[in-house]
Amino acid sequence: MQQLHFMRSLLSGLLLLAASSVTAQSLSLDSLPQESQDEISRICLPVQFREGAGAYRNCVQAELDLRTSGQSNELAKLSFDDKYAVQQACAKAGGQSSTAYQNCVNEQISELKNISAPVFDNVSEDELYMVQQTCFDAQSKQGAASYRQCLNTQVQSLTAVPAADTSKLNMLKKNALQLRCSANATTAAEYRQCIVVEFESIAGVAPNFVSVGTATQVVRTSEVPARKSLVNETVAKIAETKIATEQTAPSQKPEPIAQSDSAKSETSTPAVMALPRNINPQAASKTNAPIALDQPSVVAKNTLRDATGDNPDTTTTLASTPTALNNVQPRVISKPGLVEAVKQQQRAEAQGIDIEEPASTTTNADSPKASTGSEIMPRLSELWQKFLDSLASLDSLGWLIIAGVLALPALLLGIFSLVRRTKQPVEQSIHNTALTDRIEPGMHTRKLRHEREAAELFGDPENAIQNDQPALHEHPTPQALSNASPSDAANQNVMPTQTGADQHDIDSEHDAVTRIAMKSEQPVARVKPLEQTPPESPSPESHPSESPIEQAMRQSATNGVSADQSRGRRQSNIAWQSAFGHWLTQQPESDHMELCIEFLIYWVAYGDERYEPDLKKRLFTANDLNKHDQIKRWVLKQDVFAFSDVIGWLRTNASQTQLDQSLSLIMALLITENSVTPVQNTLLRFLSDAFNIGKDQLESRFEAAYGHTLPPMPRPDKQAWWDKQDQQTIQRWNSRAMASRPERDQMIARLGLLPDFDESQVINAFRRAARRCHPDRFTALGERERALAEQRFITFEQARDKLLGVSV
Amino acid sequence: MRNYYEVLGIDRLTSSSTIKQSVEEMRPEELADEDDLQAIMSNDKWRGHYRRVHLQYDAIAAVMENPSVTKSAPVNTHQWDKRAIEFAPEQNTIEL
Repeated sequence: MQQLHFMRSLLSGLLLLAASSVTAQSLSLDSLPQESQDEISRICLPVQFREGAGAYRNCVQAELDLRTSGQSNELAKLSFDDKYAVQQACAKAGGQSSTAYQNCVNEQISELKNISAPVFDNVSEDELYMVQQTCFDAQSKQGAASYRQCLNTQVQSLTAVPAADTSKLNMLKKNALQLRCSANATTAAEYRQCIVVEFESIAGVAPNFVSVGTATQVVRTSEVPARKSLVNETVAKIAETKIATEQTAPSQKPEPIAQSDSAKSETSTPAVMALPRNINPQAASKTNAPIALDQPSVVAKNTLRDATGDNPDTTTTLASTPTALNNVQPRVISKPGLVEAVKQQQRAEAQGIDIEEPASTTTNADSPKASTGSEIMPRLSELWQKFLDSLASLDSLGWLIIAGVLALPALLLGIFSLVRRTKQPVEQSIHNTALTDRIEPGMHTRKLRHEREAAELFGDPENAIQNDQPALHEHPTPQALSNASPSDAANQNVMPTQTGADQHDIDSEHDAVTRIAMKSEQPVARVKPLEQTPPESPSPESHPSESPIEQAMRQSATNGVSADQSRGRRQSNIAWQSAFGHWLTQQPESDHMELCIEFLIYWVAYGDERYEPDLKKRLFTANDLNKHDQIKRWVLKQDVFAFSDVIGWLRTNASQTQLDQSLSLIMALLITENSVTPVQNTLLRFLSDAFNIGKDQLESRFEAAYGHTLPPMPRPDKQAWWDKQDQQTIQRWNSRAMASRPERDQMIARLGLLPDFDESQVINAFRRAARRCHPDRFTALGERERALAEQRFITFEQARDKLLGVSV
Repeated sequence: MRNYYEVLGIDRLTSSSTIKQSVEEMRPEELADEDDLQAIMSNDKWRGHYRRVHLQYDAIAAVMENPSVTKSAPVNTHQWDKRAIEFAPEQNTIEL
């Protein structure tokens, strides 16, 4: 009996201790500034998402402990990418609250301090992506130090390659160029090299090189081959550096399973494989060998052709060695004598020196002075005779040079007129030239249609979308709904009838959407029950229905508004078309943007009827809904005027960057590769216009983000359109059926993989998905939107790990 | 996109059986004007997707009439104005 009493006392004591611990935790969390709270949320929400509430609490506690001990600041100061590398490296050490994990983090941070942060000053955004992509394996498997080292190495190699100034290319050409090069290059340096070479073939002339590092290189056409040699040397150096990096970091080698995973990745690629795919390694090694001054330039040129595997347009240019370039002054061809030009060129060839641009494009300092009328005819006659003589004595190379010289002006003229023709429509259609979506590899290579095994993967087509089941009267009153029993509601066609397939209605591919309100629901902010009739004179400033907590939240949120958000937020004078618009004005002004974006996300998601089966019943019968649930209810009511108000508000109040990023967020959260539904396609196209982006830019962005083209505008009202859709495509639209498939199939669908995928396609699809979710894409949006993207990223990560057999 | 619901004089959320009945009750000359109506509205799967996109066109039409949007001349690279006109049943000649 005494023992029992003792045990009860002990248990009570433990419970009290636990309770006080929880109290202390919540107090400590509340006492932190909002920024720190957000930071902790950002770190721990993925944990909650992945491991549940208990792990979330542990994570919060660990973060609080860290802040108490002052260690976390070090981690918090890291960039998102560095932090991700640290967390990845320490994921296997144990839970985030464990000592082993903390030790690992400390060790990672300590190693990081010895390596300077990379400087991306001379790196364009697309190149930065290539750098990040190249270092992705290091980031996810080898720790923060290796990752940073990799970044530095890549940037160093990259900046050693002269960059082409493509600013004068129109957007379409530039995009096409970037797409081609990102598909072919495996490192940033190769990418830049590719841009340079491709740029030449587009422009037909040598590019103007922009300032690189400390030296600004103004390059003549004749320097191109030399530069190519330099590039090839750089590529070889990169390859060497890669090996060196791998060899010098034995302690950071990935674990066995990670090694097998990386067997197909860039970091484990042999040096020779680091060359661009269109480069012949043997030829490349030839160009690295020193070339004698007296070596005929044509040999160098041919070597270059072998090395690059391409067909440089600079056929009129005689190549020279790098040494020759440094020693030779530009030669100018005098205008009156083509023959003389040919002779000069032949002489130059023999001497291994280069000659400046064709005569038609150069100013001739040595040109003959103006002749008098009497001197002209004899002189012309003499020249003509010389010309004929020279023609008779020309060999094939001479003819080739003449043809090139004659053709070049016509070619330039053609390109110029083409550019002028295309420039105007492009400028009209592209309203935001600041949009620089990141470029991804392999986007031209993915086949859209795979015939085999699709039925096995995606299930029985009859199991797909059922009849017109969601039958919800528009604008039902909450009173009527709350009075109706579920069966009554079904009989009255108020609530959808649940079919067998509907029982699995929750769409695992849209977890992010179902959890969209997760973060914001943690505070106790709740609004009053939905008023179906809008208030007569809503005042955005007064917030009559706001509770003290909401006021505090509003104040806090207003203080936390970023500069960009402030710029984008203008006082609106919108003629509301719906009760939603009036409801919006009752919300804190600082929340308007977030709420409108949230509405859009739900609109796109629910447009394909992706929601839990009980959601409608719950939302339409509840009396006390938070604002996120109220938004869901408006969307489920299919209130088209609410949609109209949201578009109107965003167009009036959001900055162009915010509009762009909102569209990117919708794409990142809701649209997967190879399964764009007709609703998504239609809405994407409409939003692109509503957000001043336009069709061309949308399609370009889509292809860059997904690796395949956006299908044409859907016409589900036309039988001819349906006849063009194959069964596999239609099945992929049906996320409801997918939710009942085995987990592996769901992971495949999540990454948008087609049936006969291999590991490299998993990795590439994951990388594209990761890029779509990268927080840098949503800098003009709020923390909440970035958290959503991060949560979505984690789901892609899980899919990748599952499909590659990696267990973390 | 053609607005078959309006042609049939029914709501988008009308039950499947009522839709089929409405299609069957259409006169041959009415059906002749709407080549694809019967095929689309009689196929459950096709109609399901048609209904969802129909909602989007309904919403797009609402945006097109929203003064807050139209006052600032939105980009129209997809010719939404023509698509919205086609959405009205009396217009049946625009193929986009």
